[in-house]
Amino acid sequence: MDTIGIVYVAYGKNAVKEATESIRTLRRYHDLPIAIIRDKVGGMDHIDCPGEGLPGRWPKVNVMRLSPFDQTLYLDADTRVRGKLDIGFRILDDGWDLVIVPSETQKQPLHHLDAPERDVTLAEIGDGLPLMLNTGVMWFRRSERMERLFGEWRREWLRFKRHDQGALLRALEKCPVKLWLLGRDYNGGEVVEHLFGKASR
Amino acid sequence: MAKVWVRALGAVFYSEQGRKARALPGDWIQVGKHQARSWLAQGIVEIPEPHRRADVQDLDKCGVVVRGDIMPDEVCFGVIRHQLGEPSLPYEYTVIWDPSLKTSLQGIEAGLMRLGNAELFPDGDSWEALATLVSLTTIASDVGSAEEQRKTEMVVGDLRLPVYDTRLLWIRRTPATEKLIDMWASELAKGSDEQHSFLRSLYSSRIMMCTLPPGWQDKQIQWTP
Repeated sequence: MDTIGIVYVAYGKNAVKEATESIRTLRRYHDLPIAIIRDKVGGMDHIDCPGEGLPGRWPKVNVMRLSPFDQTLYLDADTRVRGKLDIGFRILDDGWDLVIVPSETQKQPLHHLDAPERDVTLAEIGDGLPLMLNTGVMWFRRSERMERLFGEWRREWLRFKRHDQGALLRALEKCPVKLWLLGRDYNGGEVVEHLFGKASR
Repeated sequence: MAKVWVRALGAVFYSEQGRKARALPGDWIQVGKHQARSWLAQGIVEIPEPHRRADVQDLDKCGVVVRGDIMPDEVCFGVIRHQLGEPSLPYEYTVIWDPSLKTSLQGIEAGLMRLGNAELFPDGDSWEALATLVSLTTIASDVGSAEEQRKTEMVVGDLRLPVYDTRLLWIRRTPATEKLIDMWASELAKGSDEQHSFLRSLYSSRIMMCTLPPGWQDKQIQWTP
């Protein structure tokens, strides 16, 4: 039987504070094991990871390698859980590799990337208008296909060492997986509130 | 890799003998097929002659299934084969199109080129289908009858799912996509809701779906040279 659990990345004092609060809200709905990558958060299993590039991103693109679980729910530290999150694990059990939510803003593709990375990403994806995916809430299971995707995600992130979402889109183009989408309620809505950017302030 | 000539529609930066070069609108550039496909998909270059464009895109493996009884005459399919019918996969790369959605040859080709990239990675997995979302906010609980919603919730476990626009689908034929289309066509024949039955069939078939944002189709038409 697969082990399941939840992983956060906490990098810096703000992120530790945010992760602590996120866990407090999570515990109202789940008593699943939790592991924290990078900085310590009281009482939780801790996994070390060196920093590189934009803070917090290198641990995120390594999260599958670092996670102790067969099925992982990754949550950004600046999320607040307002409902049960079993659905993602059920979808993984039904044979999907990755469960994720489209980004809230789609009008200007990859607007948050620096121009060189944005241009490269749009050119390599090939149609100029990808569906952007928010990596702040994602369920994934350990598998060969996901190992390949995460390996490619790391390689892509190392090209610019900045944001992770453009790197993920480039990686998915090279290593597609069985990806199931959930609606915004699960990242920036009623089930998972997302206080975007609060962990880095 | 074989090279092809493309004509720039806007300013295009490319590499020539290791140096950065720029083509202005109207300039002809010779590039590899993969680069040509990518630029054609973005609408920044063109190959005006359909038979030469078809060579770049390997359109002999592609076709369009037009849903309904009447073949619309406002879309010129060029060299792409086409037939009337219900959803099926008669071609290696099939576009399933409901003419109630306006499209263009470029829109159809753009999706085919994304799927055609599968041949660049013969040893790995590749996208098996492309489809756009209806919107970023429409979820399964917003559409269909209570009975359809109940059926979808039983299959997937939740109705907080983005909904696909099933009027234009690009599908690479594989065992999993054959299962998807067989299931969907079977549900449609029984009168099931189009979008809910597609979600249920998609979930059960577990294909590698490349989901496109709403408005992707409109962007392709805008890029029509």
